[in-house]
Amino acid sequence: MVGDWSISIGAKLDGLSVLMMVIVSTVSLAVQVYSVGYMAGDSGFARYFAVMALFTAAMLGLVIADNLLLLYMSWELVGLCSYLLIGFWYRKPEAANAAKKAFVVTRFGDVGFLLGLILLSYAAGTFQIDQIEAQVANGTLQPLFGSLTTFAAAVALLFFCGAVGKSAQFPLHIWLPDAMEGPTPVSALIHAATMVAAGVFLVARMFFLFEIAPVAMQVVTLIGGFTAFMAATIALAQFDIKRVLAYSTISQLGYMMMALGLGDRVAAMFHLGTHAYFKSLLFLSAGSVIHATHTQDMREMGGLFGKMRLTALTALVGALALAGIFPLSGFWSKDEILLAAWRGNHSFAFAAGLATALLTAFYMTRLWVMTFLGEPRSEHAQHAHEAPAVMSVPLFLLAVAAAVGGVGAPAVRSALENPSGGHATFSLPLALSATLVALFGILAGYRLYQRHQAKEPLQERLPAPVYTLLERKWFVDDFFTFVVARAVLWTARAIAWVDRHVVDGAVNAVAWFTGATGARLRWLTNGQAQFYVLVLVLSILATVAAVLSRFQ
Amino acid sequence: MDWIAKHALSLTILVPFITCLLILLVPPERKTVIRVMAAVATSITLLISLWLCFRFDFAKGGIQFEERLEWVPLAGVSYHLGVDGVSITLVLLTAFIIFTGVFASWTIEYRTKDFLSLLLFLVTGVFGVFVSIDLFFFFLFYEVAVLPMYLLIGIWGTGRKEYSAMKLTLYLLLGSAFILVGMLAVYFLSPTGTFDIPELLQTAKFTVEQQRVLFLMFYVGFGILAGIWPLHTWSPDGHASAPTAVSMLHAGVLMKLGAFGVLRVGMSLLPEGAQYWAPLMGTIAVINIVYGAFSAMGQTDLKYVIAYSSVSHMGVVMLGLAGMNAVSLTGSTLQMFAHGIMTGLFFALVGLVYEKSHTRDILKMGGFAEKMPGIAVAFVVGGLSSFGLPGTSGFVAEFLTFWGVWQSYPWMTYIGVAGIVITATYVLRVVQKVFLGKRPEGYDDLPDARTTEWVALVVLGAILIITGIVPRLLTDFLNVGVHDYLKLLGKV
Repeated sequence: MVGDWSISIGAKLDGLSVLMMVIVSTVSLAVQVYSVGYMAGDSGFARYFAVMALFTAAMLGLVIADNLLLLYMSWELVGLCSYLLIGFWYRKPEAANAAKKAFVVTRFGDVGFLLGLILLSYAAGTFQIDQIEAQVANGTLQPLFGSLTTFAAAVALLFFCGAVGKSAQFPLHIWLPDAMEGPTPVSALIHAATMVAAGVFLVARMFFLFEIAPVAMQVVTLIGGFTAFMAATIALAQFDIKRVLAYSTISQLGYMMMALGLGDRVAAMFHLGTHAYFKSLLFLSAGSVIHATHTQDMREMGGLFGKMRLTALTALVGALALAGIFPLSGFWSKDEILLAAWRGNHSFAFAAGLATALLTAFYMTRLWVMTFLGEPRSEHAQHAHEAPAVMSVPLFLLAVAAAVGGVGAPAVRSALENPSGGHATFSLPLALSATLVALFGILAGYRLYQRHQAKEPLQERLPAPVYTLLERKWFVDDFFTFVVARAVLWTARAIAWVDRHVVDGAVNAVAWFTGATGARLRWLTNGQAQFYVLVLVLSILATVAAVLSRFQ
Repeated sequence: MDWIAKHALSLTILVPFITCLLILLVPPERKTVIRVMAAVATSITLLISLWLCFRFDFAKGGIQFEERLEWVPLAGVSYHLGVDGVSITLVLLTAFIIFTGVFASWTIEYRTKDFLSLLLFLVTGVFGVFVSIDLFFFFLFYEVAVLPMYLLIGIWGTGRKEYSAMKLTLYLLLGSAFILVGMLAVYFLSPTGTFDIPELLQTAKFTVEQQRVLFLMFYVGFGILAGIWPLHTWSPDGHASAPTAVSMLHAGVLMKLGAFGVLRVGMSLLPEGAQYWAPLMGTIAVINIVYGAFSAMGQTDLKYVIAYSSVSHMGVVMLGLAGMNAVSLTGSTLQMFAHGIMTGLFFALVGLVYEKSHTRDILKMGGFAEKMPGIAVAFVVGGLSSFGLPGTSGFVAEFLTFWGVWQSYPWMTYIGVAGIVITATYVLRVVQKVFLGKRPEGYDDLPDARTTEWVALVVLGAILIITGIVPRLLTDFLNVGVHDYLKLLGKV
């Protein structure tokens, strides 16, 4: 209770939150079991599981929140857990840096979320999502400025800022690849399956607001589509296995955003679900590989298929699901998004979607081939062996989920039963062409990478400027590091300097002036009676002279 | 028992004061005895404060636990004490800070006796200000709180301590001059010639012009203490030079005293003047937030970082005052408490880090978390509250302030909210530089906090989290208090 406002905490269970709860809790379970093996012997074992548990709680709070304030609070808390887990190995300077970067960059987006929340709360007079939705539905929401459409667009875009930060969309995607400094199970749970999907969830949750604002929908589509494509191209030129997966996550989140922008909430959430399983599977498989080879650089792997058969197969399932190969889960969900773009007659989205599908198939093949085929390229890879059961059982279960997740489609559809939620079902020609594109990507990738080459084949085949662009990650990181971060730091230094030398300088100048004036005037009170009498006489004479001159 | 109940507020003043005198009777070598005496005295004041909170009548509101003794009736001066919903939380804040402050000063070996007796004298003044509702005593206690500071910083401080002590004292006395003139003007303009605040509230009718001039006097006078830009530069120097407990008390409590003075004397006595100057107050508060945060980021001395963060956070307090509505005032008064606890915690931590590592230069530190996990965790908790992470009291306070101010001045919310990103940046930067990453050479035997040092860390850290999760513990008081002030402002 504050003033006339009563702020309470409550839960809202609808199809959307139940769907998210299922995803969050199952992936979390698999990852935590896996972690028992992965983190065994780490000095921060207890700390790790404490924060993971806090994360799961906060994430569940986020998806069941019935009001915006609780949603925002959980949103920040998962951000905190992400910070703590990215910086889990805090002695590593890179991890400490990545943790800070992740928090600050997402916080940047959160400002938008917070402002949107403030504006919306005043317009609706409540934080309750149900009530706001009802007001939007029957048109009683009082816009604070402009028409309802303009206001909704403004608020929706502010919320989208938060989503861009959390779900690592362009241009705030830069924190996610660095976040890979955290333990791999953390990357699987937080930075692939759940927290990064919170942005998508937020847009889906506030979908009623986006729907009445075409401008906002258009922005979401464009940012999503662009992010999907850009991140997929960057993934082509990475050698760190986790970073490839991180860029892939960014790309897939862009896919989901694009689906939302196209108005198809079902497709977006369906893809969110399937992606959560196959991407966490891929991360855990990668973790298993890293555990065995003690490196994240794919150039030092190779030939692991014979040594880690289960991991290789689960990774293959994950990769094919991500590439969208029939009948794995990714095939169904990706197809729905492409169909939405096709039906929505949005040529940019469709082109971006198809190009991303091709690139995805290509870089996943590259990853799998470089890791598991060919000859071992390092000492560790030579002696790698399969992970213990506590790690491989979760892998197997996730692989099953990733394979058959497609059957979840009707469940998602009925959970989100939304009259306006798109009518995409299935289109054979489209599915065929998408599959062909993916197969083409796989073939090309296999051809290029089946034999290990000293030089990255892409580097030879692509024009130099293009490859540099990919390798430098489209220069977005450089822009933030060299322009934004420096500008902020220099502003800080400048203000600190001004404070010391100008503002405080003025204070010291006053002090100096007082002291100096005192010193100058000291001769006035030198204690000699003759001097005082002299001044007295002179003053009297002056006064008399002045008075006399008046009278004349 | 009945006597105690009736004079609880006097006791908050008397217990530290009498202990201060008693300590003077103990031989200086008996340091443990002196420390225990100080600890007992501050425990008693803490218990009294908690008891007051427990007995506070929410339904009744207004000023409670009143005590009144005519002192100089001819001059309209009376020893009149009482607390409302806002000042009771500040009494509690003071009690917590001094309680933990005494434990944080446990390791002071140099002139222990003088230090602790001066510290208790100082806190006598601080309690006095929060419970006085007579302007004369309000001012008297205010001066009592300022003067020991000079000695405490000048003798037990670090760095440019003489300069800082002198600067702080002169600056605050400059503020006092404004307050004194304003106070006398109020006295002479009042129909009954009184310093009594409740009486003034009922009888005094100031013209709009008078209110505008007088409010500005009080705003500048108290504002200096609250660290308003550009009159804040005493604060970083003063806080950085002061010994730990003094920094805790000064940044934690005394700066709130400035803001509280603006609320109690300025805004409630001179509502129209306050409304006239509110846009200025708000604008300066926004400058405080952003400018203070940037300044903090530009520092390399750990203590200066925290000192500048106080300048920034006091901006939030003043912004909430300028908003002048139920939500923003609740946010502002809650921020007084939240920031007080948080910055108290920070200064206690900085003191510990300095004591153990012998450096305050953040560029020379790193990886301390491994050696001092307890201190690192407490620092992170303080940091989270500092940039308003949900689950800490800082979130509730900052959210309410920004949310409430939007009703009055939307643009201030937009800029203020951006300020907390800067806060997050510099706090995390400091956490990284000091506690994470590689540990430089020569810090292999850093100890974690020990015995008495844990008190401040655990108590203050726990308060930040508990009041963050259950803000009602405080907002129930604040709602009552804020409602009273809104009535005076003519907004209910």
